[in-house]
Amino acid sequence: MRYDNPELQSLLAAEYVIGALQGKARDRFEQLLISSQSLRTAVVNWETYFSLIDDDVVEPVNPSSQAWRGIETRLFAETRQTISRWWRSFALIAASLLAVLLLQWFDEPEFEELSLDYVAVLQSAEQQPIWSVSIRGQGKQLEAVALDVPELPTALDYELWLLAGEGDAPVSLGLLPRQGAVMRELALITFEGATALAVSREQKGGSITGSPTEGAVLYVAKLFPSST
Amino acid sequence: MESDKQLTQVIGRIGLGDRHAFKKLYDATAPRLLSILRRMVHDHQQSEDLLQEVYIKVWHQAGSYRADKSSPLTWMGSIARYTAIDFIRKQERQPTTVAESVVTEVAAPKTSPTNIEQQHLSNCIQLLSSDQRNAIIAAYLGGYTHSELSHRYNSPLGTIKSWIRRGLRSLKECLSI
Repeated sequence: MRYDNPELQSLLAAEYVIGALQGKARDRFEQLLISSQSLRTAVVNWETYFSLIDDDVVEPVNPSSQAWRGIETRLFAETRQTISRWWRSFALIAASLLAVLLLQWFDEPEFEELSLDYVAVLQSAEQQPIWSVSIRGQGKQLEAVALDVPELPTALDYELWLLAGEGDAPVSLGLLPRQGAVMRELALITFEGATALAVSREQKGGSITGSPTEGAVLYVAKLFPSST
Repeated sequence: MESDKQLTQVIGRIGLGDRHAFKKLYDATAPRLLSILRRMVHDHQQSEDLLQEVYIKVWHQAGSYRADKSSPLTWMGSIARYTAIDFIRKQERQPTTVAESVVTEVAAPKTSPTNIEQQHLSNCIQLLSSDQRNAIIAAYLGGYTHSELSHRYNSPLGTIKSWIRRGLRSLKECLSI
């Protein structure tokens, strides 16, 4: 196929980057980009060089305050609706959580019942709950309940992360169950200022770097204080 | 403007859903991206509408940003440019609305190249014929279509395409891409 020719790939990539590739040719090229690593590399190479032209001619223009408000509304108004849907589905989740809690109570009596601090529900892009997570006893105890967890190869694990304040690195809260529930003690983890939880896909046993693997974060959920 | 390293860290946090980091990135980069959009779209309100689209894409794509592939500003600038290109193609903008001052900005840069890559690019661009140079730069900076360039330079469409194709081939050889 001609598109496999590096010379042609580079020229098409250049035409794409400057906008000279138009109409159906542009659509077809974008389709090829999805599956061709060498084509993506060619595009990035040209983007990198041509962006140097921007450095020469860009004269920063301050946007109006409406621009940021528009972005917030378009992005996070949806989140507010999602939260609303979350509360509607909370009754269902709470029922399953209660059932698991009762089982845990009988199976693991060494865990004392602690006051609820935070809850979060990690959902798929289709708003399907995947795990519910609760933090108790002023951050000393974590419980994660698997609700409807997507299949994952056995060589991989789902790892839970706490997103703390701005500038702080995510903190691992351990691996998540594929089914059932886990309850674990936490030590030296500060939840104050934390806003969200995230789940990444990691190799078996969790990330070896202490941070979520780049590009492997799958789900993010807001952490709700129990008082709200 | 934040350094590349700082922006990369901020984008990493956005990939984890950090809204404060998102606002920080917006404050640091929106003026640059709006400049790129205005240069291509020419209408301030439309440019701001596109700016919103760009940052919505940045929010959704931050998790897949690869710092080892391109710098944050190149990545975001490309998102802005492609958003503007898509908009321009859908609008079927009339050539008469295109500003005349874009191309000369690069043909005669206001500042000297600040690093080796810029110097290299500048040298290679200067090796092109003036027709090739003007057509490529106008397409890149102004978002001009082939027909707009044809109108602008009063030359047949085939000639414009030839200038661009040959110019890019020369650039490719000179830059060793």
